[in-house]
Amino acid sequence: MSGRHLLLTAWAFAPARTSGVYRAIGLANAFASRGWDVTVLTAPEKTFADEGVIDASLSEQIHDRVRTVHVPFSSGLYASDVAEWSRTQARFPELWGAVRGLPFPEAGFGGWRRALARAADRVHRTTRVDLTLGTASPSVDFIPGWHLKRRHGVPNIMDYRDAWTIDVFTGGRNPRATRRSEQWESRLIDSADQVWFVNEPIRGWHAAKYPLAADRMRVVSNGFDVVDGQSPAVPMVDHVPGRPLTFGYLGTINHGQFPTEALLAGWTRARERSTELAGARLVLRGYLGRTGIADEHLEDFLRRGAAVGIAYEGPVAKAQIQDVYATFDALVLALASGPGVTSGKVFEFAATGLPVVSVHDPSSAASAVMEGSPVWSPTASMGPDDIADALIVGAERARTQTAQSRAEAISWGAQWERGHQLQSAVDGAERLLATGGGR
Amino acid sequence: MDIVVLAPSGRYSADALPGLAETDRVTVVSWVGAPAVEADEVLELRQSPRSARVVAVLSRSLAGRMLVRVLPLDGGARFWRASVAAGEVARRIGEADLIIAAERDGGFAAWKWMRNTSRTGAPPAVVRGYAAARARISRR
Repeated sequence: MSGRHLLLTAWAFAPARTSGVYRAIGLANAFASRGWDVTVLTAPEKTFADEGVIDASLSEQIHDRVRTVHVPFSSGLYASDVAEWSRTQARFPELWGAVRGLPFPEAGFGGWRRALARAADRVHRTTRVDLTLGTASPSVDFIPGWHLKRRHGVPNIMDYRDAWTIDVFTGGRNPRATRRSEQWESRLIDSADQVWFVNEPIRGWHAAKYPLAADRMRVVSNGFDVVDGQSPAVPMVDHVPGRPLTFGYLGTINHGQFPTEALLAGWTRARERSTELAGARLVLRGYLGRTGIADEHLEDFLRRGAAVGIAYEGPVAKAQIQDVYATFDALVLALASGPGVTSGKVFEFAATGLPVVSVHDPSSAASAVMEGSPVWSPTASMGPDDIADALIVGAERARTQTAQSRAEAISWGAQWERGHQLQSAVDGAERLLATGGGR
Repeated sequence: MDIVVLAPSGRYSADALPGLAETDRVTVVSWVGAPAVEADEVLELRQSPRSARVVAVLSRSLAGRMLVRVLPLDGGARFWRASVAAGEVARRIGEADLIIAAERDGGFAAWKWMRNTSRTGAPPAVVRGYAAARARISRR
């Protein structure tokens, strides 16, 4: 199917490097590679450049059929250029933010609703939109789809890469959800033709909350990205006898989500119990939180970690990740615990073919991804002894992995390529249009 | 590069602005009594302890912060007035290449100083938060 027009809304899109950008890029490219013209409504690049959250290499990953439309955006959360402030914003920031948030109940983003609706109208007027897709968070990204559906009957898909009124760590009610946000979510889901979620626990929680929409809900998993034709797969090189092992972690390191204390305790215990681990290093790569700088908790963790062979060696551009994975002998998948937590990193880790040691709650959705991997060593619990056990098994696998077993692991991980994951989702979207396009 | 950090609480660490050169100078403007900070210079402003206590109590909720903002004892407005009263702050601002509103209550002073300096010539860059400051510094 070709010549169709998708309107995708993603607050952050390339070259912004905030979380969720990779899924948005993947979605745009998946439709574009099937012949769709894709228009992306996104915030202006300056929003991200001012905060230093840009990765220019991401722009090179965008398919030729994808066009971006920058929709004016201002928010108390991202208003870093004081020269652009009004007197009201400078003098009464809380009041300014509250008034701007009135159109849509989402702190920091609600004020974007009207600009998004106007932009959607303009795009639809210029080139008729056949399908809309909003990927959130922020949830205001759902507005263009809802708006064009109401006004023009354009079929509409909501894509939750996170959750809004549900806490993904527990499945319970998000304590920050308000009555108004609950009402809005209900309204949006009621109007959507399909609702996508990144894993089964999150889908299940929403299906239980909105049973009338359950048959329109499906899981559209994340995946790893192939950049410039290169997957993160790490071909086997010969072991150098006696060379200490290097464990690696690559991903954003957020205080409160990255399990610093459990990892540190487990790693320390493993070093006490294993001479192999005693000489090993754990190298952490990635951004430190959204701002790229460690808060006092992360600083403290890194300082204590340095004494036991844990080193932080800075962020990595998307285009460089394959080279960085190639410097590791094994990976440590350290994630926040919670049944709804998958993390995009799990797919990339799986794709490398390197032994992966899971340091997250066994009930994590990441376990469902890694199950079946021939080189996976999950911890049985977040206790230090169990984490040490997993690390010791991971070290042994790293020492004994052969070219054949590495190739088998790479082959197993290839199923998680993002484009492959998204194909059935695009199929489903095309079927939606083929059967009359929406409800 | 001359950098002025408007941080009423005095919370500032050199780690917030990595990559500065030896010749760069950081001046932190804070309320008097703030904890010692790692800056080339600290300018302390005086405030009424009673006002500070009232504001601290009210600022525990969003509604309280919104109420405080419209009162004369608002921390942002008081910080601005105190910075005007301290002649040394005006001198440092006048020499600054970059002004950073490091905290919410430093925002109004940053905006007012930006407006004042723009009347007297080329204004310095004025940003809110260290992430934006680092982005500016990296582009120099």
